[in-house]
Amino acid sequence: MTDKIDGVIAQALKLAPDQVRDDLAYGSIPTWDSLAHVSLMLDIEAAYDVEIDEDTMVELTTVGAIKEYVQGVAA
Amino acid sequence: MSQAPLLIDRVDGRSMRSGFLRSAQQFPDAPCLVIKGTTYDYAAVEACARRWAHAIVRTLGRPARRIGVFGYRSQVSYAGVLAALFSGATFVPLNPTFPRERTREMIRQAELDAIIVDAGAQEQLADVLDSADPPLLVLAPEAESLGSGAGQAILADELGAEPSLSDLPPLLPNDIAYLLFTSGSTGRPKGVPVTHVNASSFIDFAVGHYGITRDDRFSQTFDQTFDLSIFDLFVAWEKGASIYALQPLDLIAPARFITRNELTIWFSVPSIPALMRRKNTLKPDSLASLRVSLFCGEPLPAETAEAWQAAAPQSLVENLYGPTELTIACLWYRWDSASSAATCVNGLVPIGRPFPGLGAAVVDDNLETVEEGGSGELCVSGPQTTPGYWRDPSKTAERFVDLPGQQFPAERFYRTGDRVTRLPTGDYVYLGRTDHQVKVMGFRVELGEVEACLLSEPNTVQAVAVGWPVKDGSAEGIVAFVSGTDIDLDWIRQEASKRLPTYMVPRDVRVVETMPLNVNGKIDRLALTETLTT
Repeated sequence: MTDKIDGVIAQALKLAPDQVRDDLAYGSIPTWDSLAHVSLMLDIEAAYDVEIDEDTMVELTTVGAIKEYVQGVAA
Repeated sequence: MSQAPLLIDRVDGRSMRSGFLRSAQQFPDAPCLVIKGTTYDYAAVEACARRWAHAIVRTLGRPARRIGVFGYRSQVSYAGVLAALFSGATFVPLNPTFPRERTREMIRQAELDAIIVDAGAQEQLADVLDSADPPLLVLAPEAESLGSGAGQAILADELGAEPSLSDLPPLLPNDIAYLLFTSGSTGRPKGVPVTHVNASSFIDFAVGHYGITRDDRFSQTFDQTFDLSIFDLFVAWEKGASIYALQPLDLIAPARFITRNELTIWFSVPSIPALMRRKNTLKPDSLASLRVSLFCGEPLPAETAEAWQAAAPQSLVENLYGPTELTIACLWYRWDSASSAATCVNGLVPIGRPFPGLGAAVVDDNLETVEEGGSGELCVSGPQTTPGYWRDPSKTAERFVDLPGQQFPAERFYRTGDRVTRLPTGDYVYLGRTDHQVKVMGFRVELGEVEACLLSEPNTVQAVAVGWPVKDGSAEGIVAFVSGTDIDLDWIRQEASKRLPTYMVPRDVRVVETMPLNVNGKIDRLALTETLTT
């Protein structure tokens, strides 16, 4: 589970897998801008067959929050 | 404290502060700014700005010349521009999201008298002021204390007790109202001074054209270092309307922000609705509160305009066009679902026609007017044409030119560098650039500035930056190519991050053995770009 979401995040944010840390946040690195955030949300939707609305999009702004969300929808 | 009678404009008639002052006098209790859920009324914003202006004039012993406003979408960053104008100064927006070296360079070039800083930018202060000589006066309205190295500082307590500046130093119509820095092809940001007449001409057009009233609720999507933010602030203030500042998180969920705040006026780069379309959050009839929707800063795809129109059926949708040198925007085109598709070229909405009182011409490389229907460089003339680049007469002479054959409304035109053609309808259509400037999410990037940064690595012999990938006429980012031996790519990446704003930092830097050349013996940028698609 963690490997899968780490891979999705690493690819969307153009990071090496070992750079995907829970405290990484939207806007904290140059590659996590609004464009990348929308791409990341679309990638998560495709990978986990979910639809993420705007209210949720603005909550999923750290790697930790994304992992928690994914664990919830995959449970 | 009772205020003296309003004595504005006793010398000059109009200035950028006139509209705010009139609205604050007429509607003191009306909401002026809404920031992170907190509302500041006109009286409160005016009171802050007058106190800060008093502190500046008292300390300097004279009206100020130029004041930096160092903040990000905060009450201080907005009231700060008013405080600068109230103290008789030009305001110079500075952005704490920019690298410190870039801010230092802007402060060096602007030769500020003082700087107003918000809480978020305070920690950078000592760093960005280390080159200021003599030390600047610092106003920090949200600080109880500041670290060393900040020079003479006036902090929250003192500013809270400061008297109000009731007798504002006069401003003249041709005084510089604000000084913005844009990307410069020589490797340094270049300053564009804009006068009160320039700005007032735009504000007057916008207020009348869009029928602005005090009931309007404006979005504030643009960073204050981006001149389009002037529309959000000063057009709203002209009529006593309210401004809703979008924070970075709001920019990824704009539909939610619009509906929750029942915005009536939306203004952004087209990249924002493009993102909403990708995420399927731009749904039909979902933006019912909007009555005016404006896009500017990069090409507007027809599909985006139509999707926005469907989402906001009660709203007019317009594509605005204009570089900073022509004061915010100077051409406009109103989208019409029934007829506009036929006028689009390459899937892009026309940039339209000049505002009333402005003139446009399409010229060739020799500045001769091209035949009707031909393509060439767009040049624009009129009261929004700014005086020229900040302390750079040679660059000014290159871009601000007389076109003797054109006399409406004046002979002096600004060469935009944009290649256009004029349709039989009279609307202009954007075809591309005549130089190496690109737009990234609406931000203007001179590729030469990126290349100059790359060439600062000692082993780099040649450097080429390109916008890539390009979709609907706008680049998503920058990719660079360098040639030389033993190039230190890590050093290049670090240096780029230190000197360039995020949107200018190359996402990828590739080493090539030799640069490909075209038939003219110049580096073949197209060939380099094509390697990215394979």
